[in-house]
Amino acid sequence: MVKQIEADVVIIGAGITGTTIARELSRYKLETVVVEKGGNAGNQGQTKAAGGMLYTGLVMLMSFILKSMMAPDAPLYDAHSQKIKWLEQGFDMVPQWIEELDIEYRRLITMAIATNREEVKALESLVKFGEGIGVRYASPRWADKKTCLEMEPHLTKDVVASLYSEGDLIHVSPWDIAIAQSENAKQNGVGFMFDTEVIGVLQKNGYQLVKTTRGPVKTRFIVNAAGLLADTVADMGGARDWGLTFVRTLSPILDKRAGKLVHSCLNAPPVPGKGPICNPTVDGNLKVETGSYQPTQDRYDLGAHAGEAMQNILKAKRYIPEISEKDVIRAYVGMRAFNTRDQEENIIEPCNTNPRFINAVVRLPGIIPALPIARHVVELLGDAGLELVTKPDFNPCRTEIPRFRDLSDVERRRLIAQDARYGHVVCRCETITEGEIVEAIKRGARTVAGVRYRTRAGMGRCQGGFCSPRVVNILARELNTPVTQIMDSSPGSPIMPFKSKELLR
Amino acid sequence: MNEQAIDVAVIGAGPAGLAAAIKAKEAGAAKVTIIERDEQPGGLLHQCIHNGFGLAYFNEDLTGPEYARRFIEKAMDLKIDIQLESMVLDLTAAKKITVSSRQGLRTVCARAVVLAMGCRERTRQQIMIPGTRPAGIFTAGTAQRYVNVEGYIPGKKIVILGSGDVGMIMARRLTLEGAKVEAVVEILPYIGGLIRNEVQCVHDFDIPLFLGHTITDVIGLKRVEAVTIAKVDKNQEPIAGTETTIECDTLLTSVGLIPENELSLKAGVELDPITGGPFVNDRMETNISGIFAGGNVVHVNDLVDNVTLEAEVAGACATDYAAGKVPPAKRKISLKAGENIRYIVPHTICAEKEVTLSMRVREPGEKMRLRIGNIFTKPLRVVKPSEMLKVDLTREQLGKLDEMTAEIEISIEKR
Repeated sequence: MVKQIEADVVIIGAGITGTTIARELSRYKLETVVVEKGGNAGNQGQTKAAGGMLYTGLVMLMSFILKSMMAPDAPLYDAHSQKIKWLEQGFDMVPQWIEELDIEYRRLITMAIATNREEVKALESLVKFGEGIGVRYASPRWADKKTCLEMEPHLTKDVVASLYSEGDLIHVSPWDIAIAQSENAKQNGVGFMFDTEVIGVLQKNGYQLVKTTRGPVKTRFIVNAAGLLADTVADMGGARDWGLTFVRTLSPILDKRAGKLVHSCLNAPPVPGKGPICNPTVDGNLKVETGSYQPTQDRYDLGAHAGEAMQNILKAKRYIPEISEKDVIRAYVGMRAFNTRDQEENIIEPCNTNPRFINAVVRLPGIIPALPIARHVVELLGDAGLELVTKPDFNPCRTEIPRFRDLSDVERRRLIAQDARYGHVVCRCETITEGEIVEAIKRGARTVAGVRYRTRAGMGRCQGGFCSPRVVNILARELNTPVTQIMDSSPGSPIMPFKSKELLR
Repeated sequence: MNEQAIDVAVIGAGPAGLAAAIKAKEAGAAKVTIIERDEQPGGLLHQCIHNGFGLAYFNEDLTGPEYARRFIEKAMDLKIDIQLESMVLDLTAAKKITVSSRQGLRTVCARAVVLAMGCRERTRQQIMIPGTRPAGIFTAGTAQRYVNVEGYIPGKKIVILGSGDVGMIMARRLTLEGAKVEAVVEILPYIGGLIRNEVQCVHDFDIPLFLGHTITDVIGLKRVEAVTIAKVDKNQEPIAGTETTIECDTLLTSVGLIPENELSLKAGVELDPITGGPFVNDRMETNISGIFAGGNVVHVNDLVDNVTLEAEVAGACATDYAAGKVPPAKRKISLKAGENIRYIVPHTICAEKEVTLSMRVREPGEKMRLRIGNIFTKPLRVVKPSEMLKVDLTREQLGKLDEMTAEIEISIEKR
């Protein structure tokens, strides 16, 4: 008989919210288990398709204004709102957070571009508004046309002026944080069950039984961090007075050629129909962000439509004329969930009918406030009776897989001397070595997507055309599994299901 | 430390690289090195196990591996240094090459360089096929490697988007492996690849061919479950009401090739936006003096024989350059793409030696005439974008050019 897994806390979902809570709980003497439907942390749902922008100041200011156009009665800025508090606290925690987790990041200048007098006026009122609400929002500076073009030489010559700010925007790959936190939490004793779906929760005498596709887990407390499926999971724990609504947005990712044309996060002034334009990513690609949020009933409506992508490129092209649709290397749909009780707020609270079942339903932006939210969840668990005894040997630091592409030649030589596989480049587009791929597998990658998200092998311009057969072979070799059983991302997604001549038998 | 000084460095050991290196050695270069990222020389030829190679060059019908072997053996006979599993990380205009391998990082300093990196496949994302992104979507060339080199089959029911040569060849290959190819879907009203492949790979196996159609949706969250195809109008926009859904577990794309020039850009090589390859003169030299290029890195060829011939020019001229025998270019005449010509390689000629021009047309046509300035005309029964036009210009023909000529327009006109 399989030994019954017993835990103090089961976290459902290994996205940004779930992994942050797992890492925070790993500070205490507790048995914590994370159950995740997908094959890796942060490789699905909202985390996978998040923008990766960690911001305050000017970007936040513009988002307030844009929101006020949709909900004119709501206050523009409420310093006492829980969401705002967490966003402000969260941003201030970011440097230490990404330092401890050894996350690759890129600091960007934020630029709001005006191409006519009307837009300059919109920016002027933005400055006034920012000054009125606090020092955090009062940092933007003006750049005249000449300065704008010096800062961004490939910008449209139609620019009249811009508002810009430094130090209030950091770009990361969202899944990097989830993966890093899952590794760090594991280091500190948290258990992870991947490719495992929760199918129900039973209330027993003094404990709860989480039924999964890989057997039951006995636990005292449950945290629902199931993201796009938070409603379904919440129903397993008890009653709820909220539902989820969904919006989708499509973002094309452009080749590094285009990534080199832009240095800042470019925005149009916050006026109807305008908004973000594009930003270079931490990996040097260009992400076009002109897409609007469209409501959808279907949370699985992840199909990208060519027309949509083209429209986004055309909008961005007005600002950066040199980009072209030929630069697109990928376009993906981001699905976001909002709760129906108060679309503006998060739901971080125990279930009404089950105090030992905490719902953590976070709306976008979800990475910036993740840490304060996770700490709040820990407090709620404490209030509900979980004993929080700190672990003296908790280690907050985790080390990233060596990034051959970012090393100096001296460092590269040293790395290859230690392990020759670091000299063997497997992914030519992103310069990813066999050493990195093997290390990713050691850290838990079981699928091509697992390797891709941990190392970026296959994320470049050829999208795995060259390296994917090689990555599959390395996975098969390291995991001692037949190639026919290597999956793309999750069970049921085989890459090469048959051996040659097998179909002829 | 780890520095190697050589005469001619060739980047890539595919058909272009092998031919360039062999020619360089034969032309007298003492130290010729090929740097190759794969574990064996020969490039893509290893996965092209079908025949049809060498008809022009050897006057024989060979398979890809057979064609490759002839050059590999020749290179070995000539004792050409082939460095395998070696990735070039950097190339400078001063022809300093940084290479990474399991043995470490090394620097190769070459007098002349031949770029022979070939091309890569356009991906699904680049043509923005709509729909979800499950497993089971491959470029035709990647699938070809899995099937012919690795020994695996991607699925039982296949749809192929695009009628490029590799796509059609894979339609036949997978049929022979027992898979059912449900459709080859081509957005244009005509085939993208060679006629012989249309006949031998598609029609001979009764594979349904949908010209003037495209894929409007991919269905499936984990693995492909079906695709929806629709007819397109003149602007290549899908026509509502013409959609059909085809059940399948695999989608292959054969939607074009792109010369692989990220490395060339590092050295400052200028690229032609039409071909995607470097601007070259009739010595196959790029704008960077001493950096030559040949084969699919310059422009996508449809026959490997042509790749070989073009790379041989690059290899021979690289040797001359390395030996300091650079002919003073008295003239630089631009070749201008006129009516129904998409591009011409080389881009410029000196008109002092014979030259082979490679051209592609924009539109198919019948009963046409090719006109090269006022020095050459040739009647052509049919022209097609998928079939390259090649013309050898002799010294006599070039001699007819006026002294002051700075540009020659090449066009295709109706007879």
